[in-house]
This record gives sequence, structure tokens and C-alpha cells, in this order.
Amino acid sequence: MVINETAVAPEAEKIQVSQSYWSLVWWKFKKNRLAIIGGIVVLLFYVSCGLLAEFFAPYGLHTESEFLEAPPQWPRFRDTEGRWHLRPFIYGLEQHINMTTRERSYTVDATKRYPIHFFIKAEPYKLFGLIKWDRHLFGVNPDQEGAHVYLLGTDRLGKDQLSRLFFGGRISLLIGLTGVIMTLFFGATLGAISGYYGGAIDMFMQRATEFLGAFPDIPLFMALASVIPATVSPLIVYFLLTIILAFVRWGGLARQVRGLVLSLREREYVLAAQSFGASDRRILFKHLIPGAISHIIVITTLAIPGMILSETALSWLGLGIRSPMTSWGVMLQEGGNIRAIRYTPWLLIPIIFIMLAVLAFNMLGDGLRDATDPYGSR
Amino acid sequence: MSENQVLVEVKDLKVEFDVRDGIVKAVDGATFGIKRGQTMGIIGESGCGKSMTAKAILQMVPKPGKVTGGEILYHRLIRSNGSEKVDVVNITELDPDGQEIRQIRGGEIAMIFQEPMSSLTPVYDAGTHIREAVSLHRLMPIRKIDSQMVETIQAHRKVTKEEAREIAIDMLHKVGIPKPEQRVDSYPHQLSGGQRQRVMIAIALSSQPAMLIADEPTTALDVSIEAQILDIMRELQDEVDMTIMFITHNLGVIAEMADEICVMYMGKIVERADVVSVFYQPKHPYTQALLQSIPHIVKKKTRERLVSIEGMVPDPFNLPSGCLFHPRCPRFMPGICDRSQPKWTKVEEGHWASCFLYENV
Amino acid sequence: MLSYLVRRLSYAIIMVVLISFVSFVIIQLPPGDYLTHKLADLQARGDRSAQDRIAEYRARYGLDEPFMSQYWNWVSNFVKGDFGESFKYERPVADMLGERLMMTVVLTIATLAVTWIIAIPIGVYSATHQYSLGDQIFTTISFIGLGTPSFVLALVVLFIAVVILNQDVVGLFSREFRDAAWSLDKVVDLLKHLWVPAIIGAFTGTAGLIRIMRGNLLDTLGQPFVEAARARGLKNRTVTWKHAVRIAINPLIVILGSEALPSIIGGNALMAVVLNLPTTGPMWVEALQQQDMYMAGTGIVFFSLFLLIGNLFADLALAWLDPRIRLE
Repeated sequence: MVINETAVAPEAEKIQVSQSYWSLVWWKFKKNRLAIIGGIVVLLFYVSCGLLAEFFAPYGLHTESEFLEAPPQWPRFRDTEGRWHLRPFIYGLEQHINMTTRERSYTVDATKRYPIHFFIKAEPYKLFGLIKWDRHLFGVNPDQEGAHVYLLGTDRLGKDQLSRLFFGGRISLLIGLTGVIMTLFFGATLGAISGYYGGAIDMFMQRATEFLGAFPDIPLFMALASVIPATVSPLIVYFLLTIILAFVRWGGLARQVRGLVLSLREREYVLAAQSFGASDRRILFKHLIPGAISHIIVITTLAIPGMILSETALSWLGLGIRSPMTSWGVMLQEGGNIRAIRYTPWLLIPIIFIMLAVLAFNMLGDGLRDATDPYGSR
Repeated sequence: MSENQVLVEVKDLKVEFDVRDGIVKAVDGATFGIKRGQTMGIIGESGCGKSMTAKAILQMVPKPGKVTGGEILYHRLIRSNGSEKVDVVNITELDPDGQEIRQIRGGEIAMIFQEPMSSLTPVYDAGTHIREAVSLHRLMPIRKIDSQMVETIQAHRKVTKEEAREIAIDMLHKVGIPKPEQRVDSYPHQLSGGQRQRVMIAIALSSQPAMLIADEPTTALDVSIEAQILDIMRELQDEVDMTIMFITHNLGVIAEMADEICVMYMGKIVERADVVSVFYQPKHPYTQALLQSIPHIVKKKTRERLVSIEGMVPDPFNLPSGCLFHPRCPRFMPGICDRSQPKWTKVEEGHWASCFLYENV
Repeated sequence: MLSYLVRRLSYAIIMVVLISFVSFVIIQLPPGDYLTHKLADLQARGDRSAQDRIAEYRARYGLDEPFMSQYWNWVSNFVKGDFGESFKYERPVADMLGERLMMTVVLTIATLAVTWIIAIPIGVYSATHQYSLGDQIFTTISFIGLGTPSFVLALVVLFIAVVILNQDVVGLFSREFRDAAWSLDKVVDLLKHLWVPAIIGAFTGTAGLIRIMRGNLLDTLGQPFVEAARARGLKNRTVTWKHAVRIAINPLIVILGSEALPSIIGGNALMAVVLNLPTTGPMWVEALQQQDMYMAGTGIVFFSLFLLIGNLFADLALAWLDPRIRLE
């Protein structure tokens, strides 16, 4: 028991720090270790793939080579003669083509040693699309004859898998984000209107969402995606794809927002606002939507992985992003068949990144959900 | 013969909650005894520990709470072949998930709760609730007629399904529910609040317990319904000579129901006496303040302010030194009340209080 | 009750009709049709008479008739049980779907069974032992499961099987039994192979169900009737299962009908493609990719039909389980 001499008027002594809603949210969020890890991973992904892909990737997106479908090369510190080097290096690969079976195989050539340099000047690029630069996080000396470093192997066209992972990640992660934002605007607004006004508008919206929901999304995706003409530039394909994804998935988000608005509509503070004569639009925008913002943030964060996975599935079927643009789904397409699994399994590595990203988003979203309910039951 | 025997003894009970910010002493040294056939009232403000005391008696203190001290003794009366025997069971030593306490729960000491709205499982009808309790606790004696044509009870068996249903309808009738044969199949959401509380009483009494703990049973009900429920409780108590532990914060209700009253404040019992003494000669300043805060209807419009107790209930993590009530006490004695805790003192025959005013008499 | 049923059924029928129309539109959306692809294909192989043969097909299938008459043709035959013909295989759709239907149903039931048998006990355990080590482990596994769609998991499993274990996991039967007649041995062989796709298909659903069961049960355990039940002397296990889980599980039934069922039928189509299973999934995906019109359209219609029926069953089950809804 704490002995407190000033117990007569304890409140006067302490400074009452009134906590705003958001500071409470942050405080509770901080306690959830999984959520913090998730948040950090998500941030790392967006920075490394989204913003600085060109820097992290040793090669450009379109750089091909003659080492088609080469296996991953491990960096070493110790060479075949047992000597230790401070700088990591890779042994070069030697290509053999079997004349009779036309099969390609690779062996490690210990005579070719390529040291890895950091912050090296290699292929030039434009950082953020604006600033000209040519430094990469790591790479091999471009002046060294025949030097290459394919840490995760290469694909059918001899492009470095690791570099493609970064560039592909940029597309996959951005589709996730922009798709959800589009869905949000469209779906949340409609859901809010539907929930608030009720009646005929609500009924119609409900039926429409149910209809879309009863429709299997694979054919919907496939059909809409295959409508995109083959001649259109990959960038436009990307935009159209985002819109298609948003269109098919808006139903789920709208339904959740509608449910949210329905529950909030009946709360006392709305009745109070109405009794003051506030207009519908004012109530909608100044009271209901801010009250729902925390829920919307949670719903959005948790919707992003679904969007990423949808794009992955579509691209895997060959209907999504078109080369030369690449995404994790496109990379899976090359690796996701029986022949590839048997002979070039390293092409499946994008799976790890996809799962990692989705896992991180889920942990983050779950943590946000717990944190935004600081007065809540759990 | 069993009139003045004690049924449940609570000795220096301590219940603590270990939460992140510290340890909260929900019950700090409660001592009292409940006699057979009596109604013991526990009164106090919200959060003073009265519910926890009741739950401790059934070993149902919710996590992260724990009974950390004291003991609770239950004097079980065993009637066999005409003779009576008393078996003392130490409840605090029983395993909260074990078989012995489960036999006592509902079967020998039953409890009804504050929220009849949500204290019944929504998917089971009234009859199913009663039958579940009856199948668990009620035993029918197997009567045998021995060679000397004397009826003896050799053993007991569980009730059959038909008997259980009969008992259910009978109990619903006893608690005053009209058309019990139909109501026995009603679901909770089809019953009104008052009816649900009657069903809860029926469930509790169907197992013929020795004691009923009523934790704020009428707080959530309208005043008129409350009166009906209290009537039923008194009738049933007379009929089966049942002991009741009645917990409430409502002085009017407890005046009606209790024979003896314990007044609790911040986990401690501050006064204990029979109902008349508590109301007409309250000794502890807290009790006195409580009684004074009851609004009086006077003939003359004197426009007096309503009396309330000064200050607020202290923060459980920042308890006052010495007597917990001293910051709000109109009879505060500096140097004494803030130095140490008062002892449980006998002020008069049958009247106890925990206050320095009576200590050195 | 009866009027409710009638209303729901007629509503479902209207939906299905609408869906059939929209699906017909959607399949025709991409430029050209099955026959244009086939024409290009044949010509690439140097088939000279391709042009005429394609024209023959076109006339036979009525593919140059206006859209509405094609649609009407299809629908009017559909209700008679004639779902049209697959262009690629030149066999009636009804036959082809029928062959694979049984396997699909068997796999779906197996997947559902796996999901529920695993998810419910784990969810209950997680809720009753909140924050324990077991709960944290299950929570982490659930998160992983939620992020792994079936076809990705199938790829991973395939990788492990082919590269690490060096086996052929594909298909539902071993070589000897594939085309053999049904016998007890064949059934046993099926069961031996069935559990791999069933578990893969169940993975995501199980993860989600565990989370939901855990959440619902946690909410329910905090309600007063649970404490009241314990106060009546019931065993902990009885209180948890007969009272708390009994209430907490009701929303899951609805989820079962409205989400689990469609995702099992549809989502696992991709998984079946990866694993090359003899179910309707791969056939349907192929039809969609190649604009094999009648096959694809029929697939969509049946998918939606099963979905709506699944929803209906779920709602009926909910009413049966919860007297509060039933007696409204």
C-alpha cells in the first residue's frame, strides 16, 4: 500500500494529462510487438522496393544477359585454396550446352573470381524518376571482364532475379496500395451513403453488392483483364488492372463501411447533431466519417494483402501485368509450373517475399485494430 | 435446533488482483459469519468488494484475481437416518475446478446475479436450465422397506427426465410464473426482466441449496417488479428455511430483507450489527454518512441541500495512510486516524465497528 | 417459415438468371472467340482447309448469330439439361462436368471437414488459454495461413515434394488406379492421396476460422450467462462447450455458407490447376482462358447457384440453431 500524505486532495496535486484519442492509440499500438515488427517490415518493403528499387538492385530491370536460367550464386569469403578475403566475392559460372538434349547446365568456374563492391558505380538510372545517379548498393566491377553477380539466379531471359524482385515488388506493392485507395474512395463513399440513407438506395446497393459477390471473381478478373488490348503499353495495363481489381473488390469494403455507418448512425451523438438541425451532408462528413476513420484505416490495411494476392493470381494466370513490366505474380508465372519447379526452383523465391509482405500487413492491421479500440473490451 | 448455528464463516478474507499498475486489494480482511435461516445483508458502494466476497465463497474469483489470505468455512449439515451431523468444509482450500466445489456450487450454495437480461443462456429454454441444474444436484432417495417394515433411505439416485421436468414446472409455479406448463419451454428473450429473475431464482432453488447468495438481484429491475421479487424471496425463505446473503447498494432494499448487516468500504468491513441497530444507531462515520445521504421528505419546505459524503473514493493505487476513510470522515482525528488502521472492535453486544472512536473505551 | 423459403428460392433463381446473362456477356468480351483462336492455331500449323472447317463450326454453333439469340438458345436448352458443347473437346458440357463432379464434391467435403475439425478445437483452445504459448503459436500460424492463397501453398508443397522429396505428388490416384474401375482398394488409394489437396485447400480457410472462433468465443466468455452457468456447478468443459461455444459458433455457420463454400469451390480451382487434379476447377479455368463459351458459362452459373444455395442453407441452419432468430 502506498502511503500518501496528501491523500486529502490527491487530484489537485497531480497534473491531469488528458489523453487524446490518437495518443491513446499510439500508446496501445506500441505495446504490441508483432504489430511494430509488421509495421517496420511494411515500411522497409515500400522504401526498398517502392522508392529505392534502382539503388538496391544490382542490375536494371531490362538488363538481359547470356546466362539464361542460371542458378543462384552464393557470396563467399573463403576461396578454394582456403584463403580468406575481407571482401566477399563470387565465382563465375560456366555455361555448358548439351548438344544432343539441348539442355543447359552450369558449373562453378573457380578461375573467375568476381569481388563484390558496395556503393559501386554501375548502370545509371534516375532516382525517383528525376535525379540522375548511378550508385548501387552492391555489385561487381563493371570494368572486370565478364563479371556478374546473380545472387538469386536468373530467369529465362538472363535477367537477375534479385533485381527483378525489387522492381516487381514495386509494382505489386503499389498495386496493393493504389488499388485499395481507389476501392476505398469508391466503396466507402457508397457504403456510407447506403448505410446512412437506408431505404431504397440501401436496398439497391445491397443487391448490387450481393450480385457481385455471388459472381465468382476468377472469371470476372479474367474476362475484364483479357479485354485490355495486347498493343497497349504496360503502364496503361497497370492502371487498368488497378481499376479492375478495385472494381471487383469494392463490394466487400462497401459492405463493411455500410455496417459501420449503420452502427454509428444510431449512436447518440448523431441524434444530438440532428436535433441541432445539422444537415445530412454535414453529419455524414463531419461526424460519421471521422468517427469511422479508425475503422477505415484498419479495414484498408487489412485489404491490401488481398489486393496484392489478387494481382499475383491474375499475373500468374498470365492475364495481369505484362512484360517488360514485372511484378511478383509475373515472376511466379515463370516459376510456377512443374518443369520450372524441377529444373529452376529458384524462380519460386518470390513466394517468400509475397508471404512476408502479406504477413507483415496482417500483423500491422491486426495491431491497428486492437490499438484503435483503446476503450475496448479486449 | 439448527437455528443459531453458523452456516458460513468468513475469516479475514483477502482477495487481490495483480494488474500491470500494481496490486488491488479488492477484499482486505473481511470477517463475518452467517447463521442458518438468517438473511445477512452486505451493503456498500460500487467497487467496495462485496461481489468479490460473494464470489470467493464459491471459489469463483475471476482472473487475474486470487484469494490470497484468510479462510471460508462452510458448515455442511448432513442428515442421515434421523440424525444430524455437521461437516466443516474449508472452501478456500478447494480446487476451483474440482469436483467438491462444483458440488457445492448450485447444489448447496446457489447464486443469482444482477443482470437477468443476460444471465441465462439464450439458446436454452427455462425448463432446460432448471433441468440441467436438477440433474446435476438433486438426488432422489431410494426408499427401501426393510425387514421390520421401516422405511429407510439406503441410497440416492439421480432424477429421471420426467421427474426433472415436473420439478421444473413446479419451481416455476413456486416463483409465481403464470402458466408454468407453457412457460417452461420459453426462451429467455421471450420473457420479461422480472420473469427472467424469477426463473433464475427457480433454477437456484430447484437444487434445494442451504444458502442463496443474491448479488444485486433487483438493481436492474423496475421498482414494482423489485418489490415482487423481494416478496418471493422472503416467502421461499420461510418455506424452506433458507439462508440468504443479500448484496446491494440500496439501503431501502436491505432494510426490508436483512436480519444482520455488514457495511463494506474499500474492501474492508467497517461495521456489523443487526438491521435495527445499523439503521437507528449507526456507529461508524461512514454508515452514518450513508444514512444521512438518504433524502428525507419533510413537510416544511426547508430547502436543505442534499447531504453527500465529501471527497471521492480513493484511487486503489494510491490508498490513504491509516484508516482508508479518514480523508472523507467528518470525525477525523489527526494523528490517530492517519497513522494506523483501526481494529475490529466490539462496541456493544452484537455490534462491531472498525473505528478509532470506539477503540479505547 | 415457408414463405421465407419460397422468397429466398425465387430470389436465388432470379439471381442465377441475371448471372447467366452477365457471364455470357463477359465471356464474349475479349475480342474474337474460341474459333478465331483455333483458326489461328490451325493456320499456324499449315492447315489449308482450316478456313472452311471453321466456317462449318461457326454455322453449327451459331456463332455468327446475334448475341441475344445465342443467349436465348443456350438458356432454353440449359433448363432442359443441355448445357451446350465444349468447343475444344467436342463433347457435351454436361457429360464432361458430370465426370468430374463427384471428385469435386468429394474434395470439397474433405476440405470442409478438415477445416472445421482443425479450426474449431484450436480456436476454442486459443480463446480459453488466451496469451498462453500455445495461443501465440497458433496465432502466428494463422497469420501465415491467412497470407498464403491455396495455389501458392500448392506451389510450395510441389516444390518440397519434387525437389526435396523427389516424388510425384500430382493427381488423386496412383498410376494403377487412375483408370481402373471402382473398388475398395481404389477408395483406399483415393483417401491416401486426398488429404494433401484437402489440407492445402483448407489452409487459408482454417486460419481465418481459427481467428474468428477465437474472437467470438472471447467475446462470449465475458458475458454474464457464462459466469452464471459456472455458478451452478457445471464443469468448466461443459460451460465452455455446451454454453459458450454453442453461442459463439452461430456466426461461423453463416460464414461457412457465404464465404467458406464459394472460396473452396472457386479459390481452389487454381490450386487444382497447379496440382493437376481431376476436378472441375482446371477444366473450367482452361475454358475461361480459351473462351470455350458453353463450358465456361455453365461453370459460372453452377458456381453461383451453389453459392446461393449455400447461403440459403447457412441462413436456415442459423435459424435452426438460434431461437432468437427463429421466433422473430
